Amino acid sequence: MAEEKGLLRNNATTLVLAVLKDGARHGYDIAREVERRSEDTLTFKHGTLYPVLHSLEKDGLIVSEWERADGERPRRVYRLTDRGRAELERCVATWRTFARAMNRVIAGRSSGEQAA
Amino acid sequence: MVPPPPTPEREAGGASCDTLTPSGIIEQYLDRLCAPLAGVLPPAERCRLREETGGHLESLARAYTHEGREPVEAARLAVEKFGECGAVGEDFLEAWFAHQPRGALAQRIGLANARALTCFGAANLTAALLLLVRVCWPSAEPYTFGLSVAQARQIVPEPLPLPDLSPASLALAVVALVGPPAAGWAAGTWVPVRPVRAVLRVQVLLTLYTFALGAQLLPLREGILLGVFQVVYWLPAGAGAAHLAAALTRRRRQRWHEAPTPAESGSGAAPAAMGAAP
Repeated sequence: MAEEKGLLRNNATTLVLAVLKDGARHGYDIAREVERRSEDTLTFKHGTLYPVLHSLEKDGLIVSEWERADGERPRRVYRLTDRGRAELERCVATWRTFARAMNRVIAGRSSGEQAA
Repeated sequence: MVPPPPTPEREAGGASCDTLTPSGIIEQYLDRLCAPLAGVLPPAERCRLREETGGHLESLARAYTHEGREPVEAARLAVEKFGECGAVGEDFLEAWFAHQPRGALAQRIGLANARALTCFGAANLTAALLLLVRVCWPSAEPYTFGLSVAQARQIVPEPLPLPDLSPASLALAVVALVGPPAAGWAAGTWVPVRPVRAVLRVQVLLTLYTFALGAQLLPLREGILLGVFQVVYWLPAGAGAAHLAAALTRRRRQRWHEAPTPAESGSGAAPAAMGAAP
């Protein structure tokens, strides 16, 4: 759906940084890990990942290097920088605040009413 | 799984043997992805994109083969899963363009908008200055189409200048008519990613500005007519010229540049067999 695609696009940075938090990965691994962790709820055209990776690298949140394997094309492996970790924490905190607020609105009660 | 798309025909006419092999399908996709980026992206960036995309597609194809698909079908599914090459290339180009070095104005409004503003701002400013010159220094011998000056003023009320053959009048007419396509053409050539969108954004704002300025300097009806002229002619002419220029520029770049060879060492390695486990 268009709404889901919009949500995915707007949170692509958080998703990529969260996957890279656990270790260096190349693009295909990142895409599959997002799909695996979300149990195929978050599916997307894998080509949309590379502009995001390019932007994150230019912003200094991730770094990359070529990795060579016998008989295969060289792969570009990405890993998180310290700045990337800090940005991930900020994004996660923002998301959690937003999700809490959405849940409260959907539930129809404020935190004060819930405590009562 | 979504059924794979039909194999695209080669431009030369008819499918060749290459497109019927997994590596041929992937290489054709890579060619179509990278060719429009030639002349815009630096060769090293294009090579990197090509290599990364090739590796990704091969991994996808291996995964589909592991699921039991035939190698050719797996390659086609991989290409489909990766996304339409035009859209992928444009998204990558937009991300790359957004991070290019830029001045203060471009940092504030975006590089594409700044370039479009330069083209259309110059055209609008030139037209406004010429109009001001004609208003402040009207010709002593206006061309009134056989009418008296009073009758001509019923059609072209003050302070708008009556037409004449002075250099300033001719220049104003040329700028008013030729300015939008010329500015659009310049923007379409200079802005490598989504120039029409940048032109529309900038020209809409300039039209509002012109309308506001016209409302101050001109009678209300004439101010509205000036704004309407910009909306009815300047906007579509500029956007159309930008679209055409961008398309021709892209085609010219594709003709002048060959598909890049992988620049990073190790790129000559043959791709892994499609039947290998991921």
